[in-house]
Amino acid sequence: MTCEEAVLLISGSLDRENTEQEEQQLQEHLEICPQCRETMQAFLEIHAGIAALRQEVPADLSKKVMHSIKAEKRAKIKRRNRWSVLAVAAALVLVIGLGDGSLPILNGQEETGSKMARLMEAPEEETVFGQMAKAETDPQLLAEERHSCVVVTYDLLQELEGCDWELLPGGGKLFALPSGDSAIKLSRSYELELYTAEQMLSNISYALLLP
Amino acid sequence: MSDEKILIERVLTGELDAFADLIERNQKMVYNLCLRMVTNQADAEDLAQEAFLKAWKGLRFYKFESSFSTWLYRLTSNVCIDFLRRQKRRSAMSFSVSDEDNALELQIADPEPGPEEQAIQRDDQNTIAGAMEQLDEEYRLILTLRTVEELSYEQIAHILDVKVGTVKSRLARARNKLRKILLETGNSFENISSNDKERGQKYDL
Repeated sequence: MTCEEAVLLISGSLDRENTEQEEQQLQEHLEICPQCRETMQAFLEIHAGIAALRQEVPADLSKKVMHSIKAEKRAKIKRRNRWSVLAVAAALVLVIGLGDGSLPILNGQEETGSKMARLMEAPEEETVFGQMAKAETDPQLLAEERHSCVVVTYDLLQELEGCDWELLPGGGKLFALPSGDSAIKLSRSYELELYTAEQMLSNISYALLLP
Repeated sequence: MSDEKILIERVLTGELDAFADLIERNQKMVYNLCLRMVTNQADAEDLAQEAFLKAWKGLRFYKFESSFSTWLYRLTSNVCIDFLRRQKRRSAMSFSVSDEDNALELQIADPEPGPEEQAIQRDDQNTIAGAMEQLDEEYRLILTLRTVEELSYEQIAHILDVKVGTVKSRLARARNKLRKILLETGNSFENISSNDKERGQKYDL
């Protein structure tokens, strides 16, 4: 056994996750290798050092979370009311351009992670960047309605600051684009990867739902 | 039905108080995971709150297939990693150079250590925490899950969605790397000589 192989088993031994055979091989190696005995000792001390870093929880953590939840509940009710008004005035102003000139986003067919959407500055001076009819994050509903989504990159995220968002089940944020007086205007165009709603809902941190 | 499962069912039917009980049961592990990932106590508290808030919002997607703690560990890990990545991007200085036709975006990382890093270097009490902070986030995460949270390789594999063999090798690499950092900064717990220092470097996996 080489010392490199022994390191793996030293770590496993410390965690009691070696097989009997591995443990026996390690002990045989340790008997003849002072360097690995030192490694074993070092790992033990590191283990104890890290374990000692455990701390008590701040006393009011639970209270603060419950406070946030209650505030969130109130805000959600307000947001719902606002979106229902916006849905009535739904005029599509999001400009989407694809390489082949087709608009698969809008007909809802075959969107995959490999396609790209371009979010562009709209041509008319007063035109806004986007509008979303529904701020719904139920994966089944999204899948049924075949929404497409883009993952929001960091620079685009800066521009979305202040937009409403919903929490995704994977812990990410799903942004809703405002329209009308509160619409935002992009400073430049963005090339972004397209995902289906289902793909998006799993592990993505920031996403934008396209109408 | 386990107590925890009953609590979750109660939360799902709208009983907010039941969620407070779930927090009480899990806050120590959530907070300590956050604390080891970000080091700073204020950030750790914010992240722990964010993790619980996300857990509450996403609870209807929890399918009882894995244990609740596994689900919560995964969610908390994602919250921490997301935070660390945002922080990295923020520490990069961004500016634009324009000419008549194009605008070119340049990203330049700020080489100066932040005040938090300097404080850690100064404080001998925080040697191991400081060394942990220098580890890559995947190593820091796996060491925390194993050493602070005392999870088995199988549980860790489930949380990180990797094989048990990967957990084993990644943990060995993480420990080896941490030892190297401690040796290099002269802050090892070991009484080391310069020969040992060379040896420590030999065992790169």
